[in-house]
Amino acid sequence: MNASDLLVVENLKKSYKVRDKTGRRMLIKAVDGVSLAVLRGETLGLVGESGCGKSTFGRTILRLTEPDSGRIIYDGADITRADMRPYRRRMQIVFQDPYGSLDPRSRVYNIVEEGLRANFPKYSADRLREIVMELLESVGLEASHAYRYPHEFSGGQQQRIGIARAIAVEPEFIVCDEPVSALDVSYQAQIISLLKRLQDTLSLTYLFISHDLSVVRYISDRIGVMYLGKLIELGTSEEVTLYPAHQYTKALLHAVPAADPRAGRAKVYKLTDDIEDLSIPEKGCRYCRLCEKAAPVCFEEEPILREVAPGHSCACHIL
Amino acid sequence: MDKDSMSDILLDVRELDVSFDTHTGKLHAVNKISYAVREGEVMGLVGESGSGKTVSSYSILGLLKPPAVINGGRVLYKGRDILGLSNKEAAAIRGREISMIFQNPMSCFDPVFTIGSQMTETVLANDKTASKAEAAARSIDMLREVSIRNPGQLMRRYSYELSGGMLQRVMIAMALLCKPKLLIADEPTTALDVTIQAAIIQILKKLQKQHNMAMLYITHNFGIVAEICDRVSVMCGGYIVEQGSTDDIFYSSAHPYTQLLMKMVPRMDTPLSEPLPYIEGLPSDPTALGEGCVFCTRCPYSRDICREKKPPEVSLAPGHTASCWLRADNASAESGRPSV
Repeated sequence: MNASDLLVVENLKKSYKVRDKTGRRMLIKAVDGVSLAVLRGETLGLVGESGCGKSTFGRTILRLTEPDSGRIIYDGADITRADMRPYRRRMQIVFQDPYGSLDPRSRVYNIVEEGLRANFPKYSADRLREIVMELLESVGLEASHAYRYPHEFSGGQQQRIGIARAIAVEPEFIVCDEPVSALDVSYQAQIISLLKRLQDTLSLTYLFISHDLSVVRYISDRIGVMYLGKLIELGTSEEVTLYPAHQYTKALLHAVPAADPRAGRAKVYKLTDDIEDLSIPEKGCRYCRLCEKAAPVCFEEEPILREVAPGHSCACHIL
Repeated sequence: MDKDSMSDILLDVRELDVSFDTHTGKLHAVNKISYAVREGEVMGLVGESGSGKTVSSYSILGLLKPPAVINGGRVLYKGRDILGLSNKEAAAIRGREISMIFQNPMSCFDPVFTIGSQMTETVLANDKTASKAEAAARSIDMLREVSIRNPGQLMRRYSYELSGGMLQRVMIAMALLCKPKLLIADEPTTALDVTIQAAIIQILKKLQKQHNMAMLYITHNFGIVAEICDRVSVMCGGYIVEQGSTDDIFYSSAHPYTQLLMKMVPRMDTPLSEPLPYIEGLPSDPTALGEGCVFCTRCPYSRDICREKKPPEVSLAPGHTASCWLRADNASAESGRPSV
């Protein structure tokens, strides 16, 4: 572990027991041995399709769900089994569904104040009020909004309330779990610039989870790509988006509309497009069934993450 | 619009005006908008949430319920006004002539019936001569057209057993069962992953060409517009502020709102050093619209006249119009267009 690492995750695994259509028990390996480090002050983007385990990963490192095995080390301390109370203030989360994550019967003021009061019991009522109003202002809401209920706001404003709640307790690390996926493009752009500004002023570290590489690249310093529970590529934003190494990353990049009618799509990649495809092959690379460059070895042996350029690694046999 | 192309107009919306009666007064959701969709053409209706794009499309099929009030205007389908049709008359048009797909496929299926029974019911309701077996066969064929691998098996499943991407395909198949001439697509991919979005758009494009079907495609994402639309109407606060071919809108857009909305789409090919632009402030409160331009409170170019008077619609090229004072001044002088 380096001094610059805020969070180190080693071989994290999490699976869910479910029953399939016929009632048989089966195990879904949502996160299947992921190791990575998040550096102090950076934004690490985590991308992948629904069902790839990115949200489970984000929730497990906060111990909102318990890991099966592996280690989570935060700021030098092993928190895999530790009491999380001292860490809750330092590690926060912003959720995808802006309305669902706010108590519909609480006023905005109480939503933002609750965490503050719990963590800073010595603050006076006046001091709390002052801080809440400052927080609302810093996320672009007005003082008059403080006494309204969540349903009175648009999706973009609700997400701002969620962000104000997360930064209220002065955290160091925030997991942003698809914070803009439910929003319109205009709100999406506003929230991304707000998150960036807050990161600069409050020296925050983000884990930014999204299915959309075009959004992730605007906010991330580094990007990790997940597929069926595995981390298959990791590198700087520029490396991963300009020189993607994994065939799956190329397919993901290609799925983003070009916003240029004359560009057209040069090529259509095969993608996992229904739930049946989410089963993990018994052996070999998890992407081998859809990969057009798959060689015999890809069906036999699971590739491991290895460096393809300085600071850029990829799990693929045929590089 | 060209005179000679008037004949192939399938849907002609003229000065449609819709408002909602609310406690705080009349909320004008759609302000005398006009647009036309020709046969076999994809028209994009683009704007932020709350710009009135969904409300205007709901009124076409008579799906608006009180407190919504249609104040005026006409919706001509094949030359016949379909606003204010009786339920029975409207039912004859829905599905067979005009069909619709929605943003949230989960809420459009009945969870207690199988996909198969809901699809065959649709066929039987619209074709009294078809037998049950024929209806099932037609449903299976249609499911195959939307790239579903095991259509027979899928017919026996329930909506809650399927993923969002799968259900959206089933909804498309169901909407096209009776071979409609016009498909209204209300943000069909907004709730989906980018990868599944790409697959759905490919399917829609293929089927639209195959059946020579016209489409009214509602979205807030200009990336999708570029992929699928032939022409575009841009909506802001209940007004159409710019209208033109997809090329007009992308390469010579005239309205600052269109230009900003387009720049906000995150792209893969812009340098990372450039921040993502965004429109400051919130969409104007539709209950408190003043006399001026609907975008004036957020427009970087707004002047006194923008706040005082509504801009006229200016024709910039055949089929390309914009309502902006910047263009109204420039229209006669033919000087360069403003850029954001």
